[in-house]
Amino acid sequence: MSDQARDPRLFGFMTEREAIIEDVVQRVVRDKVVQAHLSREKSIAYVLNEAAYLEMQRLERGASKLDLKPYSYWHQLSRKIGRASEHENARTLQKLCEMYTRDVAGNFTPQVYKFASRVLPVGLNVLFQAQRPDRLLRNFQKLTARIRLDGHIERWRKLSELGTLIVVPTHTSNLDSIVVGWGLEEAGLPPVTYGAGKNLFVNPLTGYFMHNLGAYKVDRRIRHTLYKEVLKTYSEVLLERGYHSLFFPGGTRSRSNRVERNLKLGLLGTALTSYTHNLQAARRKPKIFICPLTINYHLVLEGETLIDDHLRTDGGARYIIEDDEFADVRRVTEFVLKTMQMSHNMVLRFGEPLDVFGNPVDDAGESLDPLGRPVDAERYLWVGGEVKADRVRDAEYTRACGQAVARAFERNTVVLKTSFLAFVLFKALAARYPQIDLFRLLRIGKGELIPFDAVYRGADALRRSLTTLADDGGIALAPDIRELPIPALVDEASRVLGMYHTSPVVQMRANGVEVHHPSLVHFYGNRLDGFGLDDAVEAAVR
Amino acid sequence: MPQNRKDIAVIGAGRWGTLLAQLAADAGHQVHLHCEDAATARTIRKTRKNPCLPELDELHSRVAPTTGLAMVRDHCHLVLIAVAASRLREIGTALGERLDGAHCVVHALRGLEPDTVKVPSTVLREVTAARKVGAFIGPALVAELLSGHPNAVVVASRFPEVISAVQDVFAGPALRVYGNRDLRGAEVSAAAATMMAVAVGICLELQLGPAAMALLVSRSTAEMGRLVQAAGGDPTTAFGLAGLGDLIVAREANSRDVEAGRMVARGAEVEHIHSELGGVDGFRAAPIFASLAQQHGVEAHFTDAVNAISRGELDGPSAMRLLMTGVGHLSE
Repeated sequence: MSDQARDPRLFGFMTEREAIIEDVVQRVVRDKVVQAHLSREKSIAYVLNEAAYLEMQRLERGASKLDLKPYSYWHQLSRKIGRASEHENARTLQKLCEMYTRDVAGNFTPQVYKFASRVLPVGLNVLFQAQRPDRLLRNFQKLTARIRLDGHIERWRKLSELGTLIVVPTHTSNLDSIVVGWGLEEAGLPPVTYGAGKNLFVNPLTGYFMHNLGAYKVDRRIRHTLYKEVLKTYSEVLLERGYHSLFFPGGTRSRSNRVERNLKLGLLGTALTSYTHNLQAARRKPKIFICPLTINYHLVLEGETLIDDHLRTDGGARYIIEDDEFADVRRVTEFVLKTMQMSHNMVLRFGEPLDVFGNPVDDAGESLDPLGRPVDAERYLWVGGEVKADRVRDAEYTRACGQAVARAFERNTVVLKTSFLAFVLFKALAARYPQIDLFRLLRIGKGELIPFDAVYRGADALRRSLTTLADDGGIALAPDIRELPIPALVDEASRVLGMYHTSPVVQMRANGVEVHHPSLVHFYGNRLDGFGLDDAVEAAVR
Repeated sequence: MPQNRKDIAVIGAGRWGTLLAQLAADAGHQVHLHCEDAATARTIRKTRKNPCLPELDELHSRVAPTTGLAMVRDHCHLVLIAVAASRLREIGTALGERLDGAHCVVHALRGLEPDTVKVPSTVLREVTAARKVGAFIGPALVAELLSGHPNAVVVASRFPEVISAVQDVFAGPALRVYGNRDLRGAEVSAAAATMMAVAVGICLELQLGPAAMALLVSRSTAEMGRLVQAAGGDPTTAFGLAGLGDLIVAREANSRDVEAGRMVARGAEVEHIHSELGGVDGFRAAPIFASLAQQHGVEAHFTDAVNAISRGELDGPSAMRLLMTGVGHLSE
């Protein structure tokens, strides 16, 4: 094992914490001052005004113990800005930056990390269900045997020594960051730092670990530019200092359970910025590798809340959900216990790493063109022979990178039996009511019995299409999807789908499968949406 | 080193490629003109003329014919590709060996790749690492450019750097080079215009008159806009040089697609037309646009009609009646 793997970069975080904070504050303030000189629209007073205005607006709707400053602070500030000198405003800006950066900056203690990554999965149990130590250990072993690691693990490991990794996973559950943290450790990969919703830090279940696992705090309720700049700069500084990081490029949990295809490019953009800075500063390991990871659950902890939110017709989905299953200790415990009864309840698939332009990267960290020929990545940034940033050009590079990540998500999606069956059942359900829109279908679909022959025909057609797609590298299949006889596959899938949610998603009857919870069938089936599988299955179940 | 990359490569020494090389050399640039075979390169070197472009008296001395691609890596910052769409993948693959992220790669193709029916920039992305890709399209004609009549083209790329690289070379008193950031829209418009040109040909041959032509051109342009939008581009691009402009020049210059439409109106079989004209872009594009329209629920009468014609399911006069009056159904 290399030195780095034995002593991950993140273990030294606490000694660098102050220097990092200082670096971030300095960059943000310097940038704002420069901008202010370039344009009146971007004066420091304007920046402060926007912050004060948006914070007052937010706080009027209700304060929270998470707030750093009360309404009165912002109110006073907003009255002061106009009269203050440029110098005074700059000082206020500096102070605010410091406050935010300190709030954002995480802790990281190797002891907690080692403890947590070993026992965290059990920890969920320990905290809320006193169990005898021997049972505990057994449960732990059971649980870790339930997570299968798959894909380009070896390449990730090599690259983690050649540059900085950015792990970009799919996102359907608040358990994701915990699962990824555990999976990386299990795969012999270094820990990562990541931005987590501030609400997770106050959740009794996760707060302690969040604080100490290299997470930094993101308060999604704060909408003003200054705060966003602090966040962006913070992740930039960490990357440039060689901290492996994690972003969820889908932004929030996928409400529909579809594989994310429209990715948020902001954080991916910091990867390119940091790479550019690294080259300009001639740092020793300038390269940054984007590592797509798919998290494939048989059952999703927050499934019910997410799909309800997705289907809400009144003004669209909520950005932040705080009252879901994740906040309910009993539900989490139940989820963990129930999923332990399944065989292989989830798969983490490590995708092929990419450079910041979206090209694949080989074991030596060299970028490759689509035909596998080496490419000198640095030259994308050349302007007259020098590495230079260019806002418009770089936005295009990042867009291309985002598309490459989205394709990697598709290719590395692992088809599990729950999604497999749900996809078939939902198509069969829709085929019965061809004239009806989705919402009515979801209302009247409850209790509908899909006869076995239709289910089997659909399953057979889906398996054929999936096999062709998987053989082309367009998707990955869990072994049972390829191997099990169709009736057994349907049977097992229904059993698993009946396991955890408040009511069973489907139920096996004597002559068919009963759809019990149509919107969850829709939810799980959505995982296979967008892969061009529809026509074959629709024809088979008709 | 990139500091030495000042030259321009033109890949393809056909009419269009040779002309582009000439224009770039006229503007003071050193140009490498890549020829498919050694014989052509030799002829050009010796005679300073290209049999493909007899109208050109003498090729500029700054145009150097070549059969290799090594100069792309060492000397060129801008690579222009003017080969048949069917050869783009092959030539792109070879170019890929020499390209890196610093190159600007611009194609001058109107059609889609015959087998995959993909837009040219997609093909280039599939076989090279180049990101700074663009398209050089629009209604300019070789003869008019040679004679110095006012002309305009559009260079479309998501990268401003590509647009200005092309403008720096070609913009001049006789040629206006517009920039457009909507690469997808421009490529799709250019391809859709070939399809609409077939309908124009039918209309001309049937001598339906100016009002019918006006109806056809304006409505088919609106349809192109919808297709562009469905393909992820900006619908207004269809109303510019790459869409409407191409359609009008196709009519004025009696392009191959227009000729195909005329032959349809005279009752010729599709296969006969294909072999007579050596492939018709508009026929190739039609099924793709028809399925695009269907997927996105886009109203596309002209596309459906040309598609039906291209499959031999509809003859010219009934197609035109359908388009103009809305009477009749395609699917039956």
